[in-house]
Amino acid sequence: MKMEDMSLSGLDNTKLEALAQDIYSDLVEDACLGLCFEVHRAVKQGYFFLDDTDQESMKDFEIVDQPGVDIFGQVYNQWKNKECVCPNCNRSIAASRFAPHLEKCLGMGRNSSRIANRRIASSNNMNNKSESDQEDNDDVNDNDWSYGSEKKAKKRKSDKVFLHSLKQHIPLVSFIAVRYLFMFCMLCFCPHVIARGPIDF
Amino acid sequence: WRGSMVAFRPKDKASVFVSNSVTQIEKRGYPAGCPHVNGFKVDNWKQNLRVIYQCFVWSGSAETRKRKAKSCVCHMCGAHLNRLHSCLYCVFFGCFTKKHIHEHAKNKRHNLAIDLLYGGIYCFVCQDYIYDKEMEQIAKEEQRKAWKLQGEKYSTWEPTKRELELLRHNPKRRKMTTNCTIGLRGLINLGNTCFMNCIVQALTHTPLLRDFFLSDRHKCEMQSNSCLVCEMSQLFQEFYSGHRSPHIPFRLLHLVWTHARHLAGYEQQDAHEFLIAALDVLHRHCKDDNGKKANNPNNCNCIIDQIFTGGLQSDVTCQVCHGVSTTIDPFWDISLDLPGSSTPFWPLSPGGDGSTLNGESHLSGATTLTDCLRRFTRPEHLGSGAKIKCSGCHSYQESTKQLTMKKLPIVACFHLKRFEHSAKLRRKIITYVSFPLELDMTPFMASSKENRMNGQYQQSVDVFNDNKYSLFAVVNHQGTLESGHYTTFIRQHMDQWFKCDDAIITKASNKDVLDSEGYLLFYHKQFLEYE
Repeated sequence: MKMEDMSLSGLDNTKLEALAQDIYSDLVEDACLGLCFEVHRAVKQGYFFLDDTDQESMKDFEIVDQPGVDIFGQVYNQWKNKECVCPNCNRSIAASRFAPHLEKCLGMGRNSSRIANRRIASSNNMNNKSESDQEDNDDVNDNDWSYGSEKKAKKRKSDKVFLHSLKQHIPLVSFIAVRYLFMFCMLCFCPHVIARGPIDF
Repeated sequence: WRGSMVAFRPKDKASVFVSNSVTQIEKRGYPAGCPHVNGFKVDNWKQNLRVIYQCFVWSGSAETRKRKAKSCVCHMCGAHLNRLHSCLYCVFFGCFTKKHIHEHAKNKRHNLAIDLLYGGIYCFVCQDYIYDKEMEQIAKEEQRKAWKLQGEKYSTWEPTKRELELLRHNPKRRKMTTNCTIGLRGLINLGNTCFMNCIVQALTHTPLLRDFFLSDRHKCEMQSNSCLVCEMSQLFQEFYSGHRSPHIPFRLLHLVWTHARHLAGYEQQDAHEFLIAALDVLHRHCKDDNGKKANNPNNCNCIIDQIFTGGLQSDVTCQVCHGVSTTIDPFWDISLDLPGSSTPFWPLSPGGDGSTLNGESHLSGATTLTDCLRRFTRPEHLGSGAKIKCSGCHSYQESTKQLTMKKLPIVACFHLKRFEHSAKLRRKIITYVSFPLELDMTPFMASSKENRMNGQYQQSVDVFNDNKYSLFAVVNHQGTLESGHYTTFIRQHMDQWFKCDDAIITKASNKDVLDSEGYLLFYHKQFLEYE
């Protein structure tokens, strides 16, 4: 099959189809060859075995589908004593109470400014009142963390922030189809690489 | 040819053709390579090899590609495919399939050739592709250089000798199979943070996002430790670690609140609001991935924009001169009104009752997602109280406005507006909306609308405009406006669904998912195409 210069304008549809078919089958063949080389290289260089799994490990990770336990076979609600370290104040906090703690720690809550003002006021008046006493009072107000009231005005604001930041970065992405090659790729499942083609969930 | 013996001439620089058995013994010292390359490794061989790679194997630029295409043909039959090889000792191209390169090797006693497609080196004595350490090193460098020219920053991973040793001594391996828990993990509730947990579950099960982070594609350029994209990357590591105990996402909460201050500190948190805020912070932090960003804010190509950003087209038509004014705005989600809210849902279009679209009566069945989308994209008469200045008429006129999808994102997120906050009432709309597993967005595209207006009612199957989507995550809200709880259904391994309820992950059925109320619906494009 000699290479020759050829103009596409003079060709009819069947010839164009045949050309496209040729290119497609060449691409498919090249892709298969690439895969063969990958395997050949992996075997010769001694890392082909990496793909093997051991049955024991795989059994450990089998999904469990039984009432009363989750997919790991664990009973519900055993995670009561988890703790974490606050990135802001470095104190160790119970995980289930981390959010209300963080809200106050970052000075963001509805009550935070009230508490802060109170602190300023009382430290002006009573210099001998210790820090820890005041913090104990703060903890009493932890129950303000619940689904409560308003979010209407704030919802508008978050929309504005979103639209504003988006308007600065309007993406111009357009898709050009490379349909034929990736219909072939439907047959290949490679979850560990970025997939082009039908989505592998 | 095979098994033939040829006298050995020690002065002969070219390699020797020996029988296979002798070759085996010789090869023992060279597990992946072979001793026959020594004849080649003389004088300026490294530079010569580099030139061959640069010109004939991995062409980085358009000109080198053209030159390769034009010059690389078989010197015997003129073919430009057929697994073309180049002799390493002289300027000769021959095809492998028709054995023209083999003939050359035999005649000239040039025992090495290189495959022009993938750069592998073939030894005619060993009759196999060989991997010599030094030559492989040069090949890798040249490949990386060529890829860099094409904008590809990443290369495939191959284990080093030390890594191979370690892996051989540690044979336990986890692999993602269909019955495997890897990729699934619970999340501890940090104090009514189910609004965050449900979004994290949806994001960690977004296939393209998962692939991005597991391929380690985020190269952080932020100075401090407060990059949310890095934290997201860490999250994927946690989900795929194989740990069974739930993860504690306290760092994530801290980062989102410090970067999205408007969100933090509210007593009532909305999952949808959290999603938008999280995407916004991720998008901002992703900017640092691409050097171009700082100079060109309109050309953001970060992973968030690639996956989530669509274009919404708004056409305002003047009722007098019929001139159309079009704007396109980017969006990350589509918020849909529901029947039962203060704004009337039916009829779907002005003047019509919409009840006989597609032969179905809306009165008989439940509201569907398609109904909501039809309503979203209906022409809306703006009324005499909201006249728009028409550039054609140069005066204020009544007009109709219509929204359509100009460009669909890879992941389409639909937000059913169940929480009503009007001046008089605050309530949750619990109308059941049925949504499908597979969704075709074609009727809602701007291009479809144009076709309809041009009289083309027959929608031909357009292979290049695939608008089919698959459901992969559903966020549900149970309870009332004042006190409620979020959970997520996510899809894993094509047809398996799991319910994520904070720390508890359980298996779910298609029916569980489709019968649920639905608050945020995540759909993923079925077929991806290159841009």
